[in-house]
Amino acid sequence: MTMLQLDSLVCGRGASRLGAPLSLQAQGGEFWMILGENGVGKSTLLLTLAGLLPPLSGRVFLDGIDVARFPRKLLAQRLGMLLQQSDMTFPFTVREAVSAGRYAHRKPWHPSAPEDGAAVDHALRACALTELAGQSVQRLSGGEQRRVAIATLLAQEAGALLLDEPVNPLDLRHQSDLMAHFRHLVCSERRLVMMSVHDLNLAARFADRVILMFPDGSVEAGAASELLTRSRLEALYRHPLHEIRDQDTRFWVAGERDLAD
Amino acid sequence: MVRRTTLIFFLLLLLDLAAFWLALSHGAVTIDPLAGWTGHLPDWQLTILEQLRLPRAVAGMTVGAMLGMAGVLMQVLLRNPLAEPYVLGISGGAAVAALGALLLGLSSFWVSGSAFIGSLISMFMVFLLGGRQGETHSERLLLTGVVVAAGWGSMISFMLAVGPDQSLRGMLFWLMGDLSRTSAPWWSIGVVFLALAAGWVMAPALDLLARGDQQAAALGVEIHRLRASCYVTASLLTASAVTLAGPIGFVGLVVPHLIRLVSGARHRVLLPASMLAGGALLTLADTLARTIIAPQQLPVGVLTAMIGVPLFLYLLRHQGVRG
Repeated sequence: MTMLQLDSLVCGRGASRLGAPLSLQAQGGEFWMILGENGVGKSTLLLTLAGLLPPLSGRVFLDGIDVARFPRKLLAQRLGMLLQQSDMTFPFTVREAVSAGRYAHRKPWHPSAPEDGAAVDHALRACALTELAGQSVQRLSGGEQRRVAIATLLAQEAGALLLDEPVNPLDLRHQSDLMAHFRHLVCSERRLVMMSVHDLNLAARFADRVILMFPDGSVEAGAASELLTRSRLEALYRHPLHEIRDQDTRFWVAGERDLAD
Repeated sequence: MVRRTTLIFFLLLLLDLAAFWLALSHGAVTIDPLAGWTGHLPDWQLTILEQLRLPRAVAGMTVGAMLGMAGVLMQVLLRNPLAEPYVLGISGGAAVAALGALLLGLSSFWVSGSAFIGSLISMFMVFLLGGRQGETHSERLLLTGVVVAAGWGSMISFMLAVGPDQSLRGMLFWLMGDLSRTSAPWWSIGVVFLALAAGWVMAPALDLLARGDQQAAALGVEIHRLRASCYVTASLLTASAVTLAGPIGFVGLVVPHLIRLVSGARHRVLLPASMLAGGALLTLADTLARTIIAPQQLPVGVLTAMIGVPLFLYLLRHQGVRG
């Protein structure tokens, strides 16, 4: 089973370091969400976990092996990452773009295997892209392009999925379907999903565990049920919140801040 | 999809054969190349065929193929469909070095050698100045290339201004891309096939690189190794093309773009198709340049620019080339 281990990790880009050293363990079958205000370092943390940025200090282990020591192809078989932005400069079709997710599983001289086609079909279906498969990615809307990027990640069939704000540009139906799909991956296939989000209600509904990145640089990680409290979240976003309870479900709504402060 | 690709390659091969045939048969006199094969040609016609037209047709095919492939590789390296050897100032660097050699009165071997080295230096400069600590920003690279091209342009003007009258004609001639300057372009066939083989191996990873360095790395590509091999291949192609024919613009820009419109962006198709289409385009353009106001001959670079500029502006307006 997938196991992602952070060993007093400090990440950052160049001279700017983010927060205190972070140690935690995440494993398959857990749904993690990263919360924090803009610019606090959610993307930097995810990129570091995916081995795309070197850590400033500390280490990241995937299944007991230092991520920095993995050849990229082997790493991509086990861990996938959805970047915040995707580049659609060239006119690939949706199916071609999603097939790129299979790269890590291909042998150099055997460009495609039957299971590649099945994985791509499956990913297209999960993102409701089957009808658009022959279209050029350049002709799609922003939300549709986002689904293409998510489908590429799903086609990769990695045990650990890191996602940087995956569902922001999606409409309500696709957002809800995809979140349900991610939960299915976590619960039924015992994969590890870790995503950054800004929607507290998504976090309350789906997350087992959360990483809270506070504006002062401190980080808290742990069970969502313990950490998602009003006082913590108000400190997290430096903004007043209202908590609404409907039976067992909690909802948060942003209050209004006195702008004269 | 496979059928469509097969059809595209079949048509392109036909186009190449037709272009090659026209290049051999047409010119100041019309010759039947098949008669040359069976030995039914007068000696002077055979001489024209073997000494003039065949090397020139081969140069047209290979230089066009090199420019087409170099365009594809630079576009994916810079992640910008506007990148091309001419636009990026690679040809300009070659021209400055070649003009320098002409000014010094060196032999044609050294002029070609300088052009080769000049284009490599220019390419190195663009990527060194445009990249920063392993990160490469495609817009920065393109802008760097454009500025470097402008710099070479001013140096060319300077050299033309101070150059002695007797070298001026040769220098101007060099600046207009032309296929007639070599009688033995056979080595270029090897370069084309070498680059094609390298491109074929890189192609699946290039499809990923086209979507961004980080994205490609996340999907399992060792991007530093890939970028380096892509860079070396593109440099070799560009330097060889410029050495053989001088600066010829717009083939590297227009050909990959047209191919993308009909066959999509996958490099397993795009690279070989651009190779075939580039060869056909340049050979046809050269045949036209030799015959349009015969017996006078136009440099083919003039013609490709005359065709390429309006075509590109049209595409830019109607197809939306995305930068």
